[in-house]
Amino acid sequence: MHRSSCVIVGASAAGISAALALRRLDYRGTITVVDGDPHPPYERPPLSKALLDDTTGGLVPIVPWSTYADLEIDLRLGERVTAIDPGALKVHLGGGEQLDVDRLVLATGVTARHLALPHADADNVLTLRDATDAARLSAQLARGGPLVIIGAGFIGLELAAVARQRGIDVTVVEAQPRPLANIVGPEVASLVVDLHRGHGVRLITGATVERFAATGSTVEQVVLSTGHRLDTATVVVGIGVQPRTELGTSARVDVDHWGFPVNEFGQTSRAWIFAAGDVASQAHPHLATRGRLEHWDTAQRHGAAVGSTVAGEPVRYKEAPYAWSDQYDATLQIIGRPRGTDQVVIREGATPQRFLAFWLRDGRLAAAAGMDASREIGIARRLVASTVLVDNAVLADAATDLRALLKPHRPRSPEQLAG
Amino acid sequence: MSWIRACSADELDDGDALQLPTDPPVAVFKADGEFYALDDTCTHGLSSLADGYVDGAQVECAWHLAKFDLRTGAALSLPATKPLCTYRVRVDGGDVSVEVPDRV
Ligand SMILES: Cc1cc2nc3c(=O)[nH]c(=O)nc-3n(C[C@H](O)[C@H](O)[C@H](O)COP(=O)(O)OP(=O)(O)OC[C@H]3O[C@@H](n4cnc5c(N)ncnc54)[C@H](O)[C@@H]3O)c2cc1C
Repeated sequence: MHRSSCVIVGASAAGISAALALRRLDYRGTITVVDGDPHPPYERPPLSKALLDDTTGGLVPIVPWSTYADLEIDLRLGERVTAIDPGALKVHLGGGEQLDVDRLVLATGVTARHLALPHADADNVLTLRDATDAARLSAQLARGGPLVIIGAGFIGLELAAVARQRGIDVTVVEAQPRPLANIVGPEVASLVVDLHRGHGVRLITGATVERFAATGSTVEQVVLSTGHRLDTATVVVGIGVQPRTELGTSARVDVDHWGFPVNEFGQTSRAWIFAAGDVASQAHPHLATRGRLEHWDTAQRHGAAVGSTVAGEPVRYKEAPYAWSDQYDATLQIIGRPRGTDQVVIREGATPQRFLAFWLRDGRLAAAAGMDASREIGIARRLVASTVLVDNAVLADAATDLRALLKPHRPRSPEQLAG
Repeated sequence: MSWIRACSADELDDGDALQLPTDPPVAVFKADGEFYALDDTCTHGLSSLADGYVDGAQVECAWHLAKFDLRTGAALSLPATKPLCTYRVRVDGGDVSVEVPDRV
């Protein structure tokens, strides 16, 4: 009998979760996961939370190495997929080999955007996306500062925190008037800015890079649109990402501005080809418009949902997105996606080190963000998933036990429903 | 191993947890009327599981959402893959006690 074969491109959050879900649901075919990265599949979030030379024990594996052999998941690491042949049902690898395929999962993620400026490829201008980048960055920062970070997104701010904790002089340059404001709104963004300023980060907003002044292949100064000239030993560019949709052409699947457009089951425009994780362009109920969800947990859950669908148990992916970001000694956590039209409630007593914010939409909790408030965020996640009506004064009250808001909405017992 | 008093039985409601200042820290949970004691530190991300969300006989880590079985300590979902140690619990009169490892 013909054995079905699933090929997954990308051995990271989404790809590995898809493979694990396939086996959990007793998928009988072969599973091959291909990744151009030679390292055994590892977690990306730790790469911006500490330097790789720390005593952190190096890369954090997604699952123990033996799992792959135990589950008969064939890993092809250090090999790139160069093309898909949908007519012949083949996946082409860089080395010339061809793999049979009847279910394909594209979990190719995103790459860091680069600045289109002279010297943007200098030896000390770096981006951070994978283990190789992290090793380069660690080596570079071991020589000390000053460090200039272009772009105050999560990764840029996490690196700023890591560098400040090592006493390195840090300047962060952000084009917007406030970092993260698009993600968490101006109120919470201000708290995060205060946290970084309090730790000695110099933040220059409303500024872009005009040019790099270099000697040989080393950038020595960053010249900004505001006229600032920043001396630098290392520049990290964190100005956003681009989806890795190169395989869309040969596979002849649709590609849009965000990535591979998929339906709620992760299917692309070709029924046997799926896309999962950062590279998927989703019409997700928590997104105001079609877009990407770019977080570790969302990529894992989306991958698992797609793996389940491929195994024959279709799962719609619609849970509220969850993201975390470590800033100094605290964790910033975000559930859902705040919108400008939501009503914002900041819980009384907020400080840059510890706060809790809620966004209400139609009287219900649509999103929440917290710093050093993980217990409350766990409950807020259930409130977002529920249909409980919430009151802003109650949420703002620091004495409110959030769990109590959830209790009346526990599933009702049959007696209660009958009564 | 030695028994230490954790709390009084009515101190915890279903879904509540507390952290014992032992080394390593131990968390005591109450779920569906039962008390459970496990390592407090998540085997993945080092957060305190006493801050996690208890649902049935499971706790979900508050940072990265790994789930563990309160009865066995088994890791039920990524990102955790390693189990937690579980400890014996005794409810005596109104007191909850836990058998914890002796400090090393
Ligand atoms: C430094 C850093 C820190 C982060 N921190 C956090 C955090 O704290 N919290 C959070 O929620 N999220 C965080 N994220 C985001 C999170 O890591 C991503 O959302 C997640 O990795 C997405 O997973 P993915 O599997 O979709 O794609 P990716 O992780 O991008 O993996 C895609 C893989 O596909 C491979 N690939 C692509 N094309 C090909 C090809 N043609 N052939 C072979 N292989 C290919 C790539 O090599 C790559 O390994 C962080 C990201 C980075 C980079």
